Amino acid sequence: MRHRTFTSRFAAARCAAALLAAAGLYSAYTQQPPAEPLTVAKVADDLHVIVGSGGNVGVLTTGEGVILIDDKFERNVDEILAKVKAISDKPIRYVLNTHLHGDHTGGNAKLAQLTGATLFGHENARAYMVEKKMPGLQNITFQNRASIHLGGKTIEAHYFGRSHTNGDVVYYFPAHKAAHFGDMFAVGGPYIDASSGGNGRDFPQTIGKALALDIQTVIPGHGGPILKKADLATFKSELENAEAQIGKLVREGKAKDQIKPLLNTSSFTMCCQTGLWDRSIPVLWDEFSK
Amino acid sequence: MRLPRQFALACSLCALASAWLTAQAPAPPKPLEVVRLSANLHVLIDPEDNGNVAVYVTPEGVVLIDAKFERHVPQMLEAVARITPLPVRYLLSTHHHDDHTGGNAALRARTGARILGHASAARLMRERTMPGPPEVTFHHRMSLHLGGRAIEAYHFGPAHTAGDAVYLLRDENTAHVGDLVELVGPYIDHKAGGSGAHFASAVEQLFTLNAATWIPGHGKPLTPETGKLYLADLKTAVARAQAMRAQGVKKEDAMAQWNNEGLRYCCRTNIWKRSLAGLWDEPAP
Repeated sequence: MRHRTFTSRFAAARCAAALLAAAGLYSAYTQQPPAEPLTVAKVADDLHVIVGSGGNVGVLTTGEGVILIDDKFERNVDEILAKVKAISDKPIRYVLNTHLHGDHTGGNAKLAQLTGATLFGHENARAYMVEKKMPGLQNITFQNRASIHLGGKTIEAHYFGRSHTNGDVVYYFPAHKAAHFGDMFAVGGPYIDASSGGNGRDFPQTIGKALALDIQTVIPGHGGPILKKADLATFKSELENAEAQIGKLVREGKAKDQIKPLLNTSSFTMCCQTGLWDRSIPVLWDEFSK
Repeated sequence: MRLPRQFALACSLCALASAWLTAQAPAPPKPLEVVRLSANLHVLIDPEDNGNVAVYVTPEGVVLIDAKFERHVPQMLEAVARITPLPVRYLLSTHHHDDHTGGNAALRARTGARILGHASAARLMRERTMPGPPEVTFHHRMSLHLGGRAIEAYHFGPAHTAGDAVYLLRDENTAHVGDLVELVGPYIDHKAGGSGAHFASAVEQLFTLNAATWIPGHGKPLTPETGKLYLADLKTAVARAQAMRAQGVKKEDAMAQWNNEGLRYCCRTNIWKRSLAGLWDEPAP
């Protein structure tokens, strides 16, 4: 028993450290901290994740070129290019965006200029980027489903509905049974960006649709970077739990600024820990008050 | 003895092969007709009426819709070069048939263009090992943005094939409708998932695009007013075929018994009549 207690405490400490790291990533999301060196994690010989600074970058290499999922901030582009070059000597042909935010699309314009890569994303994400006058607009957008075929490999782009924004794409690698979830799955989050069409009440069911994919490996937008399908299922059920608590507090007439200390989410391992989650609480209060 | 015999065999094979190659060498294709719809939009029509190619010029490069056969690629690129010095950046396919995609691979090799099309068109091309299947594919709607211009891609369900794409050039008020509109047809490619029962519904959805000009897969550009006459005749023809089937006309007799009466805008030619047997195999309406 003592041993078990020790391991669970150890796990808790590791969890806390991971959450601190995730919180660090999240501060990168809104501010612009000094650049940290990027690291590379390997899912398979032809699928890697570049971690650090902004959102996790997926790298699929093929005989006819490289496909990136997201590209952090503009200031990360040179380092991203160096990391990709160490993996493959082929040119970057496509950059696929999971959503509009600048920590995932900030490198778009520079990458397209330097490599001639085609930029790709969801039509709602591009529409918000136009509205917000963001650089690096996508060349190709889709509505509900699309695929990119290159060098005999395939990436499927799926839109499952509103969650973090109303333009979140899940990029599925069928050969790897893996998918990049962008900020539909941000460890310790989520952040619900209502100003970009995000919706908390749709969020869990949108994840639920994505969980129908035949996946084992999950790449989150922040944190991880290589997690399991069960981790995403945990994230979903913890979010549902937190939302049920918020709904109950709203029905009890609690004010928007009262509910945060009343929420019991401290035992959660995937969801609802970071400062950005704190900013999602009033968004959910608004949704449950309608 | 062995060596000379093999040598003789090799020689005769060589002679045969060169004779075959000479016979197969395509005659240089006849010149393309370049139809100017606007300063930015031209249509390349060839005298044999292979798939019409739209040439759309944006400030950041050229978008082609369809690619005829491989043998047309040099003259297509020459025609583009006479219109603009800008490079071909994208090639959009309306469906998988080789009179529309035969030039895909050669165009990609010569220009580096990215090829876009419907998911089912790409699947059919891969299954049939046709060269140059689309790299980027969509299911219902996709858009291409280049040089401040937008091209919207739509799929309106199975009709000519399972993978028909329609491309709307919003700034030009023009749509390339592929073989959904074929006044000398249409042809329903049942083996590629085409559908007579759904064909008219797909054509009806073309009107929701509010384009003033339709570029058909074959023949001259037309207006939606002509499209309405085509749609009416198509509905009449499909209903007529379904009635023949209900009355017990056998599949193998359908072509011989087909009655053109009253049909002026479609469904008069052998292209259409060859679709009839497949209509008999569709689920009963």
